[in-house]
Amino acid sequence: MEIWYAVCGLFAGILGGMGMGGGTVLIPLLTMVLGVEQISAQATNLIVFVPMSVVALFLHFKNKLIDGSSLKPFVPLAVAGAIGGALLASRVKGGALKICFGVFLIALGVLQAILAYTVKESKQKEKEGEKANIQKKGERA
Amino acid sequence: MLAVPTLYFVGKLSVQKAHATAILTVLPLCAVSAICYFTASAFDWHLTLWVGLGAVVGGAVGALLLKRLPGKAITLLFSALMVGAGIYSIIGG
Repeated sequence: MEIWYAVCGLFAGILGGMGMGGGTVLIPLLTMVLGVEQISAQATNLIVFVPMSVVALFLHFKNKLIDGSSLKPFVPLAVAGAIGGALLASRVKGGALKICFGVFLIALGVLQAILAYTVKESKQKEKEGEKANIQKKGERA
Repeated sequence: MLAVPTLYFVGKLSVQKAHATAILTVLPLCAVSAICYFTASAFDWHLTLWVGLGAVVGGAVGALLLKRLPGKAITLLFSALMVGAGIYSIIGG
């Protein structure tokens, strides 16, 4: 059984190290596949995230992928969101909240994929257009 | 999960930077929550040790993968995970 715990951790760690929230797969894997209690799975997820993210952040810092300066404007936004979320959670029924959050995640996931594709395509087209213009200018010169 | 799209669309970071920086935002929140679970003794030492071992190795692999994978592949994988998490929240959570 231990090896399966480690395999689940490895899989979740890969996603977590990529900034995709390993708990998204770790909790369902531990509870639904390995039969671990929900509370233990949640606790394990939070505790193992700390050393995992320290290792991942060390490598990300080394690869210059951390942009700490861009976080400053989001701190008040995150605090306000956390307070708003806590107030909402205390007033709305758990089931309804889970459904709302689920619908929100699905919509955001689909929107993100569409936007990433369209933005990249338009940027690529702009670059291609710029290259074509430079070539034309070169030919004229 | 919400930190990445915020940093990408609002903060205008690259896909790789948005994902890496998101870990930095989540770490303090996780650390505080982990302390609460730790003191409440709501965790299983044996389970945490084995999962943690895999997660630390996986974290290093994931960090190296993020640097190498193209932005479009990362976004598509992340979007699929978001949709999956959303479905799990509605029907299984």
